[in-house]
Amino acid sequence: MKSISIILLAGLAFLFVFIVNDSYITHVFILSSIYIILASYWNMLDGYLGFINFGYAAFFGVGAYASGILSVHLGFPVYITIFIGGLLSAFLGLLITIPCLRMGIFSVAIVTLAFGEIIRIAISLWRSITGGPNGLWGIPPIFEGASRLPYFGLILIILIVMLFGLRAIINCDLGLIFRSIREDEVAASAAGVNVNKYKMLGSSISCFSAGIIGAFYAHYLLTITPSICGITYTVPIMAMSLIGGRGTFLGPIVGAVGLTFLGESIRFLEGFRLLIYGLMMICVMIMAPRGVIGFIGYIERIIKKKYVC
Amino acid sequence: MFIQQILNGLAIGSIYSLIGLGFSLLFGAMGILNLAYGEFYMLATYLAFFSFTKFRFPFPIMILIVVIFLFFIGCATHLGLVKPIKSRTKDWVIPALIVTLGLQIVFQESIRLIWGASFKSIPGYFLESIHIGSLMISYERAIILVVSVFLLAGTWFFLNRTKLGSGILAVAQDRESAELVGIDTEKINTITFGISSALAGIAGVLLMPILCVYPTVGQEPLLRAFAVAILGGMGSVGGAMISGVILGIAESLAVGYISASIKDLMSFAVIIIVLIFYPSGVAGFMERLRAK
Repeated sequence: MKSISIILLAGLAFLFVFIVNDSYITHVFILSSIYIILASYWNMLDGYLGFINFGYAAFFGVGAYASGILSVHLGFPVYITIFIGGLLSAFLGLLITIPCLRMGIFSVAIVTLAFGEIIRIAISLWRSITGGPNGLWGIPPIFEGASRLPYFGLILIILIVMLFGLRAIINCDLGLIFRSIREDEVAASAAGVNVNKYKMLGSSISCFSAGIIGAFYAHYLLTITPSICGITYTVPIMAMSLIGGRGTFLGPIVGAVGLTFLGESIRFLEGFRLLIYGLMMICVMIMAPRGVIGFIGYIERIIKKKYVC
Repeated sequence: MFIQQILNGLAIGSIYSLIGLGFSLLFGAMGILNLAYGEFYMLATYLAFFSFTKFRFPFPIMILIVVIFLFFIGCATHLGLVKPIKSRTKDWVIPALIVTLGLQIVFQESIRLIWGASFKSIPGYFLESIHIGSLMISYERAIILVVSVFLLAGTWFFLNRTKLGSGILAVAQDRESAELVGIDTEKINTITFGISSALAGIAGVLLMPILCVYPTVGQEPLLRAFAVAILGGMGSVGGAMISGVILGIAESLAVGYISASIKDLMSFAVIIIVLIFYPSGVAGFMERLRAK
């Protein structure tokens, strides 16, 4: 049921964009697709595995830079560099997860935050290859021509594949294992779950998708700066997933679409955007810690209690 | 050169101790990682900047104002933001973390919208310097050293010799037992939050002439607070004091002998290396020594 509705919605979105055929609207739809994937896979780590990654944008940035550098300096074809970007991100994600295995939740938060900042600083210092703070210019596009529609088609295909992948992960045994680790690591390992293995696996999957999307983003925008690795890009991703609802499949999608369109509709308040995200994060966490989806579920239960029983 | 760098490091290190102490204390007493900690520092620098440029308050009064103001902001943060989450859900750790992150963004952005992102600094705060033989220490750094050593001693005295301070340490050690002997843990938490942000505020006043004033100025102290708290062992008061000085000296040696751009990377490296190889930090090391 849900899988059909995902395809239907994606098809409707494409039809809408195709009919309207406005460059700006296409851009907004592409952005929200990117954010849906990022928020969903961040939520897979935080909401399902209980492993918080505060440096998530760094993996996005690594994918973008790896793909961009390979195609600019070495002239690799785009379809290969995108995968290399994803793989490099997954490898880095695995690398940073290994020391985090023994740590508590706070230390993991600090280490991932520090790791993200290290990557950002390293990219801005390594001028000869990354272009430093001025950014990397002249990245080859995926599609020739000025139209953004083919990009939207490609990202929709990636989106559908990734969302189906995520659903498969969540609904099969792997998802059950992830949730058992989130609820109680000791109990999970007592039940025979290899906690370390699954944490590394989950982290690599999540970082792999961030890298792929980052690479797509680099070849879509054609120029990238080190700031995409920083906390200013991690915060919106986290906000979307948390406001939508932690540990739910629909939550990050709702949050990403909602916040992207909200952000674009209040463009005239550009300066206030981060402030509004921050305020919303605080309000949602205090009033409905399970986010919008959790809140809807709560109301549903109240109504059922009152009228059905 | 070497001794000169150590002297500089000592001055900066003593203020790192102060910053790390407030952060570590809060973590120890409440088990909460306050990501808005750097923003309390930032608010203090703005407050000090305006009270200096607009009203020409003398230095001690400035510190007093900042301490009182930030103590109340800290208490208000606990009562208004953290306590409601705790009362609402059992699984409050991550929501509280996210709320402090949200608070960080809100403070930064509102300050940026009000006063802009430009750098402000005080011309000629303290210009002279003290010369001892071939050594030279600027007035600012001397004041930082004296005030922060004085404050560290004061905090130590407060924690170990007064009833309220022992209450804080007791809550940090074992919350349930503290409740059993009749300590009002919620009140202690509020006060700890206030003290922690006041410490960040004092550091802000002291460092303002060196680091300028701008909306994201709190990022660097937050990072140092992380590094100090982790190096010292999260929640350990003595560890924070020692490791602040260690970090300060190490940093100024690195700046003197390698390069200035390595300074930021070093805190990150300290954080990651210590967490990987020695998760309990200096405090754990001391404990092991004592056990032998």
